[in-house]
Amino acid sequence: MSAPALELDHVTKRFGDFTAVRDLSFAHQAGRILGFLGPNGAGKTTTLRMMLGLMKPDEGSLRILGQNPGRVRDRIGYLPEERGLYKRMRADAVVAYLAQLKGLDRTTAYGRAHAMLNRFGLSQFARVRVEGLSKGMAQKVAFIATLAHDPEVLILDEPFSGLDPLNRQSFEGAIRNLARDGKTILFSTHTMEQAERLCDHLIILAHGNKVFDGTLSEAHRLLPRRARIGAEADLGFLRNLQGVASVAPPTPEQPCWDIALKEGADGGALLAACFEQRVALSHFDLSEPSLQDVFVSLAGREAQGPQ
Amino acid sequence: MRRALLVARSEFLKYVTRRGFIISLVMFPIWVVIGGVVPQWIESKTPTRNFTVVDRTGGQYAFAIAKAARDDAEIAERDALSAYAETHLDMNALRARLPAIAVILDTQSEDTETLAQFRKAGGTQGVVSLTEPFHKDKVAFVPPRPRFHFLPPGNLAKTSEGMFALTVNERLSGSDSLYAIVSIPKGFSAAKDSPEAEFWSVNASDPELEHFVRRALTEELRRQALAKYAPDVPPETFKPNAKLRAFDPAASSGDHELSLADQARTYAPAVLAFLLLLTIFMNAGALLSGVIEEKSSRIVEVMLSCVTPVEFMAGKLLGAAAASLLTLILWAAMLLIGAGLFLPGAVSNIGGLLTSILATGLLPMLLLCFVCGLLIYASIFLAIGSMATSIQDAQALVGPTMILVMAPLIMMPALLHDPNGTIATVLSWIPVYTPFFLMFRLPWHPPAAEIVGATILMLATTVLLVIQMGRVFAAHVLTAERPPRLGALIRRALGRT
Repeated sequence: MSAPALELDHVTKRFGDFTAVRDLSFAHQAGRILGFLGPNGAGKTTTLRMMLGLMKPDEGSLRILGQNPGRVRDRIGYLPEERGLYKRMRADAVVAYLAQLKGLDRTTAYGRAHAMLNRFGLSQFARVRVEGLSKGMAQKVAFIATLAHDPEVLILDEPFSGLDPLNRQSFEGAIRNLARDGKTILFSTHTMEQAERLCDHLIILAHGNKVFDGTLSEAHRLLPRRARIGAEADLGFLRNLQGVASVAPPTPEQPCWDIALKEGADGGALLAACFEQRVALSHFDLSEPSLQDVFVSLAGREAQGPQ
Repeated sequence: MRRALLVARSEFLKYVTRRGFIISLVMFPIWVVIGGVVPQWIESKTPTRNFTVVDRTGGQYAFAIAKAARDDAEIAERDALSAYAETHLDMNALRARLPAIAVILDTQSEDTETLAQFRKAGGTQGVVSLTEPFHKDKVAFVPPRPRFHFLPPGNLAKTSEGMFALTVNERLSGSDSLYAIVSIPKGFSAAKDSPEAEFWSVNASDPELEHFVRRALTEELRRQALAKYAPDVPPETFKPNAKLRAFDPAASSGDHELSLADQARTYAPAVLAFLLLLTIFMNAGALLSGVIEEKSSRIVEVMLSCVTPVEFMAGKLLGAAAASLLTLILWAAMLLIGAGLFLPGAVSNIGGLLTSILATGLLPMLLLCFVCGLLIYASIFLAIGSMATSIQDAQALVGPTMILVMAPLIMMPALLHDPNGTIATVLSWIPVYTPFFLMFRLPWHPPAAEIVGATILMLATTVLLVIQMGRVFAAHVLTAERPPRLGALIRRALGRT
């Protein structure tokens, strides 16, 4: 296996008495998409800033493409949550300006700017000032500015915020294509559905601590599969089945019995047991836990602190 | 209406709880003190200007000018005495027992009758001793320093006209503190073809004595004419004009006459110093709002992912300096174009003036001062912008900085009076003011060691301040916290945190 594109080793960052990031370690391989998840104040932005070389860790070390972040500035593309563009500059000029700051010469930078604006359907807006563009168009221009110098690592902070569903879909496609081309992508988000659709690797932070580091399927395995069964009869007997972790009776909010299954348990055994007991069922569904459930569970547990 | 009042209350509270509001409250009395006390202090520190008159007509004009200087000093003493009496004497008792003296002290004017009474009473000494019993306290009267003091010409009177310029140069730059020499040629009169009197001085920026001499000569010409031709005509109806030309031993022309070019050479640095202030005021807002906008829209993160904070700040400073220099060039070009369009004859004059300024060789030094001054203040404003999260935050820090920037304007009169005096010299060694005052003083040939020392100080200040403000900029430009307290800021600028 090749050396990781992103590597953090016991990184801690403090602001006075407040620890924003605590002992964070992870590694991420090139050509994959890393979802960086966490509630507000989890330490995501601070970690991103350290990866960009904008801040230095108080403890630990960061390696981007095997080097200190400050040394590979030109090989990283960064898209902040807000647009991060000069409003009074023209779309092509701002893309070319940032590309030149990343090391391209003027001619190449303008050439790339126009080619990419064209590819994203913005060629007729190339000479329009950023302040004259719609929010979606400005976001596209910012995305183009992030890519114009052909970076190997892309750090995207909430890249989909403020986008309509069509533009969101087009951005997702673009990000998948970039990963397919071998780019290393890290994006932070609050939107779990996007992380589920895009990411190969997930990291969840809460209160400065890493609470999860793994793949989507590993995340799903953190919580039990659940069955929801609608029935007039008492289903307490299901507790005696081998693969059942817990059985909760209906509540005014949840009119079905809620049965949590152990890892590898067969949902069909529940149905079979109900038929055996001649219980009349009005509803039955078996579901995987969503990333949202995992996130809420992990972030909530962290928020409560050690018991 | 109720809702409007609710909004008003909220706005009022927001306004009065800002640090800027408190600082502006405190600043007002500081400004009053600076604006009221400093000019008086400068005036009191201005040395008496010693001068002499070489009168080749027989002495009547020298006598008239010397008398005018003496009158001027007496009027100043009488006015000071009058102000002193108001506070320290029992004026009611004085008016009752010595009405003639009380009239002298009550009248605030230059009229000859009051002055004559003042002299009759024995001048300052006489009035002080006569009013001794009316003292309310033990504060003694201190007479003001006279503005001008006439000295006898000594050997100068015997100098031939051919050697006069050389001797004048020696005397004005010599150790006898002679500020100016007035030369009245033979045949000087109010006639149209009269030869002109000459006013020799090495400080063309201070025309006070020149105007005084011109007025004294005019008065003497009027007195003579009235005595000779029309003793019954009221003096105001006859207005001769004394011909007096200014000369400077250092002037560029062969005969040392103070030409327009010499005046341009003298005033150009002052104008440039003023333009530097103007440019700083113009740039301050742009620099501040630029950084605040970059912070609030997170452009700064994108920029700092491309360049280092030092590169970012250096780029901003250089951009501001280049824009300011372009502004200067465009102003000069607009002046030339405007003159070309509306005053065609003036173009060659302006061209000549520019050439004479260039010929002094001061331009590189002036530009260095200009750029250093700009970098010093621009770096301060950038650091302020980096610490602020809003324009309101920035205002709290800009107020005191503006006081700092404005100070040279208040001190300008002191420099005009005495460009190489103690005040000017001390001000030149205050690091943040060195660019202004060094620039201003260059035409008056301050000692070479002072120029070298002040230049080194200015360059060192510029480099040090840009680096330290760069640290403040780098530390704050990514934070969204309120500006730190002054102590923390200074510690950070000194690199102690």
